Amino acid sequence: VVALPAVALLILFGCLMWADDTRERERSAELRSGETVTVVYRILGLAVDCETGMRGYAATGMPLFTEPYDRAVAALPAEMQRLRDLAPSAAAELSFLDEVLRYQRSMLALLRAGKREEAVARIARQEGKILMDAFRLRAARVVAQVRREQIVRAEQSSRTRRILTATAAVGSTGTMALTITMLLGFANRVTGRLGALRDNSERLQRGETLLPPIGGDDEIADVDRAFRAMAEALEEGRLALQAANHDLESFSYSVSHDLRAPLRAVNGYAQLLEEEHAGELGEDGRAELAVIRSEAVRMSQLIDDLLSFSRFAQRTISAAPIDMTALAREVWSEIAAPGEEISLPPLPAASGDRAMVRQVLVNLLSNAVKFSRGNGGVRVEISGIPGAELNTYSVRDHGVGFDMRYAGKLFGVFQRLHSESDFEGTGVGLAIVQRVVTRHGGKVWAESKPGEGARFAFTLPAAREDG
Amino acid sequence: MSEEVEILLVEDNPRDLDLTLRVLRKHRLANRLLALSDGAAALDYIFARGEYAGRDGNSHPRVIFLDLKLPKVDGLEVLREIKSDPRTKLIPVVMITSSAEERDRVSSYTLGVNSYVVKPIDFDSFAKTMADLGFYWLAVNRAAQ
Repeated sequence: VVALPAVALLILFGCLMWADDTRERERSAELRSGETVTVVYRILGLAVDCETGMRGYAATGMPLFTEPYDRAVAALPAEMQRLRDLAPSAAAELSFLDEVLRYQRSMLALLRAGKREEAVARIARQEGKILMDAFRLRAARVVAQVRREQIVRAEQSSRTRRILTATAAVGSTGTMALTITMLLGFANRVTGRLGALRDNSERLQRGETLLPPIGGDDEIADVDRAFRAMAEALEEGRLALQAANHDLESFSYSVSHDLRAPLRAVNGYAQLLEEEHAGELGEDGRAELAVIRSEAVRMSQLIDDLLSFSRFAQRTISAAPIDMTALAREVWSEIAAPGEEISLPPLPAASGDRAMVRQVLVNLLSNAVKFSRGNGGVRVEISGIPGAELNTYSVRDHGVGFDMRYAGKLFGVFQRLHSESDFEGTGVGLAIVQRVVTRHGGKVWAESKPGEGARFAFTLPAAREDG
Repeated sequence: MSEEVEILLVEDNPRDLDLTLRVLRKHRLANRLLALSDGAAALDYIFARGEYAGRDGNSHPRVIFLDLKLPKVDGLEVLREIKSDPRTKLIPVVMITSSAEERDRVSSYTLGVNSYVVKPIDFDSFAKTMADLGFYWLAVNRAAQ
């Protein structure tokens, strides 16, 4: 994350270094230019001194006038050397000085040889002036060249400065922007990866396929890998459970189809035996056949009850608000005989699977009626107490009741607390009640004393006010 | 068989078949009954093919009593073939089975079964149910054809 902005910063730093170096070089070039011009003027001055000295000597014939000439000639080599150091091309241009000096030397030689007229004649022919003008021209050209170079350099320098200023501005802003972008990108990436984790947990909840692995080697990737392993284990468990459920389903399907046929044959042939061979069987034989027949029917009832229990245990719950008062009234009208009383105040609405909750009421109310009949009239009381999450409903009867010592066995499959000769039934009803109630997230319990009736209570989720 | 078949009974359990025939005979409903023991034979008969290639394919039983679990071709498949063929779809089909399973009932009615009956275990109820069915489909009901 920090690599890219760091590289950008290094590049910017490099640019600034280069700029500084360039300015340094420009400054020394500028100094050299100034000095070059100075030296050129100085050389020109010395050349003029030479010429002046030589002409003074020629005009007056007095060697005294050669003194500036001597001084200038003595000073010139050093100046020329200086110029060669500063600007070799300028020195080359001004090497014409040698021509000038050679002419002056030859003039001095003439004068010293006493040939003054000849020397004056040459001066009058402007030989010296022509040479000096040519030299001046060259010096001017050299100076002009240096000035041109200076102007070019100044332009270049100002362009460089502009570029530099722009580079610095763009560079620093860019680096800052880059840094911010990278940081935001990093934060985004972290947020995105965390988001993928959250998405996956939601997908797992809904049973959808997970997103592709997050990848990388940070803690988020570790969590992702662990989450995937967990989801896989969960899926394996789910498949195993599904297979078991499927087996159970085919088992109960086969039971429902195949276990009944033999019972029908047992019952049917026993009946045919009784009809067709009644004379040979006698009273006892007929009674025993009746037992065979009724046991076959009871076995079939057991099969039905067991199947119905397994269906209630497996069925998916489709929850909706239930008007418990109306449901209880409906069930009561189906199971009660004339003269049997019920007290049914308004009950709080529940939330659940109507068909399943209906079975709970059917089983509890039929039990209440069954165990009350023959115990001094049937009087059943239903009541309901609303709760924040769960409502509590109870069914109270004044029947035979049961011994609380056996309360633990009450809700087991095929568990009976009364003998079959006293009360019919297969012992599946309360098992179904418990299964339905617990699958709705509620619980069921009972209290009683023998001979004093029983009270069965259960809780169900309360229906939400807004429906 | 020179006379037309009135009831086609498809039942693989010999005990159930025997008990059913006894009841129907007792009520003189089995005179023109053909009993077959698997779904493939039932389809051959209904579509006049295979073993029954020689019979008049335009002559149909007045009702078919069909068991749900059958060897070779099961009852639901037999029902599907009968109800999806324009020549045979008007023949009344009654599913007579041991199973009260909701999914069997839903599948049968979805495929167009005319009635679905669960065989009672108790013989008195069984006898009454079978006799009622015979009377109803042969004497009371008016078929499309």
